[in-house]
Amino acid sequence: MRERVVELLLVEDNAGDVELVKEALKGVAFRVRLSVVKDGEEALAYLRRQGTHSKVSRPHLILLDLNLPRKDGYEVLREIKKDSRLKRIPVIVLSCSAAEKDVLESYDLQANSYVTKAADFEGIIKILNSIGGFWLEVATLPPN
Amino acid sequence: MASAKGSEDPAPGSRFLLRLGAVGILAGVYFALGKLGLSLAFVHPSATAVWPPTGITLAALLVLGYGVWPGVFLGAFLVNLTTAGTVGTSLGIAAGNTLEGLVGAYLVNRFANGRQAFDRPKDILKFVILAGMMSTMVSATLGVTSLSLGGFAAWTSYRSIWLTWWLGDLAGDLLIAPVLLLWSLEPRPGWRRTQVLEALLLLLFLYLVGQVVFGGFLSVEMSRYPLEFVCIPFLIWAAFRFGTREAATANLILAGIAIRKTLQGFGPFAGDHPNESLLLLQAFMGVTSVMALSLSAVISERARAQEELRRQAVDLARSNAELAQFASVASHDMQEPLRMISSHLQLLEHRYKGRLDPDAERFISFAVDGAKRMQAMIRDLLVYSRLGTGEETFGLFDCGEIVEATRSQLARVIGETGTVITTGSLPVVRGRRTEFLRLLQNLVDNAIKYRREVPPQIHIASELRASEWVFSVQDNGIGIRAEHQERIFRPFQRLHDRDERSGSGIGLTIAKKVVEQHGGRLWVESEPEKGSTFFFTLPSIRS
Repeated sequence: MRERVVELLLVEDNAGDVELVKEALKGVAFRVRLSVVKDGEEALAYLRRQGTHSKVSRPHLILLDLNLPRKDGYEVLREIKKDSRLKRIPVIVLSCSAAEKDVLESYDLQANSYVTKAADFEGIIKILNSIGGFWLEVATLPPN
Repeated sequence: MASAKGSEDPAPGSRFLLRLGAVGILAGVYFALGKLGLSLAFVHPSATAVWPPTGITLAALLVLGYGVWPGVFLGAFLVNLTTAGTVGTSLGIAAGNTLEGLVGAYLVNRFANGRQAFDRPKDILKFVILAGMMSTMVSATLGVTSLSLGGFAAWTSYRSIWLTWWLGDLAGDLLIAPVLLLWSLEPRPGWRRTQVLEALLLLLFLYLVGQVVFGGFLSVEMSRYPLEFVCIPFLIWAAFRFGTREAATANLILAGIAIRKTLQGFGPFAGDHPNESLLLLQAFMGVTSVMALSLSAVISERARAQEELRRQAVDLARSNAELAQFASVASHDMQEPLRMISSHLQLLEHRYKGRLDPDAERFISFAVDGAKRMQAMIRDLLVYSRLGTGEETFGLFDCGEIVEATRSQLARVIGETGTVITTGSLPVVRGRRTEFLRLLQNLVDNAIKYRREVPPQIHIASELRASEWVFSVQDNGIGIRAEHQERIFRPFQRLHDRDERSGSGIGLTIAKKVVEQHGGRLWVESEPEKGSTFFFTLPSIRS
C-alpha cells in the first residue's frame, strides 16, 4: 500500500452513516484523511474552496450520498462533472437504493462508480477497503 | 311552503297555474290530433286505426305526472262529443281513454323503469306488453261498450270495432309515445358536425324510401309490390349510427308518409277496405318500431357496459399503481432505519469487542439478528406486493427452460447438498416468465431446504388433465404433517426453529399468489418423513 495520505470527501447527511464510515476507516489498509460535509451546497463550496473552506485541499476521491437535503446528490454530481476544475475527481455514488433507474441515472451523469450501501458493518469495511484498494493500487488517480 | 327570494321553486300559486296551463295545452293537442285521427275512422265514426292521442297521453302522464289527467279527460270528452254520440257515451269514452293512460303510465312506472323504459331491451318488451297491449284494452273495452250501450254501435259489430280501436291505440303507443318520451329526455340533438350531415342524408333517404315503397314514386304497378321490408335497413341505420331517439323518430316519419300514401291508394297496403289497410300498416309499423327500439337499446346497453369496463380498468390500473408505489416507498424508507439499527449494533460489537460481558454480546447479536430478519421480511413483502403489477405481459415460455434457469440459479446449494433434479416432459405455457421462474425457484429451494439426512431428490413433472396442466414438484424431504398443510401458505408462517431452517416464510405465499394470478391452484400432498409433492395447475394454451 502506498504511504501517501488519501484525501477523502464524504458527502453524507446521515450522522449514523458518517459514524459508520469513520469507524470502518479505522480498519482499512491505507492512510486516509476524511472530510465530511452534510449537504450538496456545502459540498460544492468545499470543492470550490469558497467561504469557510478556503484553506482546504482538493480531495482525491469523493463519496457522494444520493439522498441529500436541499440540493440532491444528482444535482451535485451534475455540477461537479460540469465544472472543468472538478470533473477529474473520481466520484463514487453511495446509495441505499439498488433500483435500476437510480444506477442508470448516476452513470448517465458520469459517476465513476455506483456502490450500494451494505446493511452490515463488516460489509462497509469491505466496501471501503475495496474502494481504497482499487483507486490507490490498481487505478491511477489524476495528478493534482 | 314559503318561497324564498331567488329560490328556484315556484310558489304554490304559480305551480297551480303551470299545472292548469299544462292541462289546457294537453287538452288542446289531444283535441286537435283526435279530430285528425277520427277523420280516418272507417269502421265506425268513433273508432279509428290511427289514434295519436293514446301515445300523447302516455307520454304526458309519464313526463308531467299523473296530475295532468284532467287534460286527457277534457280532450277526449270534447272530441267525442263533437263527433258522434251523446254526453253519456262521450263521458264513458273519455273515462276509458283517461284510465288507459293512467293504467299504462302506472304499469310503465312500476315495471318498466318509467320514462327510461327504452334504455334496456327488457323494459322495452314490458312497455310493449303492459302499455301497448294491456292498457289499451281498457280504452277499447270501455269505449266500445259505452257506444253499444248508448245505441251508437251494434253489439254484433262489437268485435270488429273493438279490434280497430285496440290496434289504433296500440299503434299510437308504439309509434308516438317513444318519440315524445325520448325527445323529452334529451331535447338537444347533440349531434357532431359530421352527424348533422348524416342525419340530413338519412332524412332524405327516409323520404325517398317512403315515396318509393308506399307512394308509387317509380310507377303505380311497382307500388303494389310488397316492398315494405325495404324500410327496415334505414331504420337499422338510424339505430346503429344514432340512437333510440332517432330510430323511433325515423319510424314515425316513415309511418306518417306510409299512412298518407296508403290512404291515397298507393303502396302495398292499399286496398279496397281502407280500415283493413290501415290496420295492417299500423301492425307493420308497430313491429318495426319495436325492432328499431330494441336494437338501439341493445347497442346502447353494450356501449354503456364497455364504458363501465373501461372506467373500471382505469380505476384498477390507478389503484394498482398507487399500491405498488406505496409498497415500494414504504419498504424503501423502512429499510434505512433498519440499516441504521443493524449497522450501529454491529459497530457496538466491533468497538467493544472483548470489553463487554458475554450477556451483552448475546443481547447485541439477538438485536442484530432481529433487524436482519426484518429487512428480509420487508424485501419479501415488497416482492409479494409487486406480483402482477409489473409491466411484464403474458407471453409463451418453455417450462423446461425455466427448470434449467432454476438449476443454474441454485447451482451452489445444489452442489453443496448433492441435490439431483429430474424432470418429465414439460410443456410450453402462457404466463409471466419471471414470476413463473420465482415460483419454481421457491418450490425447489424449499425442497432442498427441508431435506432429510439423504441428498435431496426432486422430480418435476407435468400432466395434461381436461384443459389444464397439472405440474408436480416432488421431493424426498421431511414432509409436512396434515394439520400444517394449510398454514404453510400463509405469510411468514414457519414450522421450524430458525436455527434449524432459514427463510422468512413467505416463499409459498408468493408461489400461491403467482399461481392464482395465472388462473390456477396450488396445493400439497405430503407424508411426514417420506416427502412432499407440491401440485399446481395452469390453464393450457388451447383453453
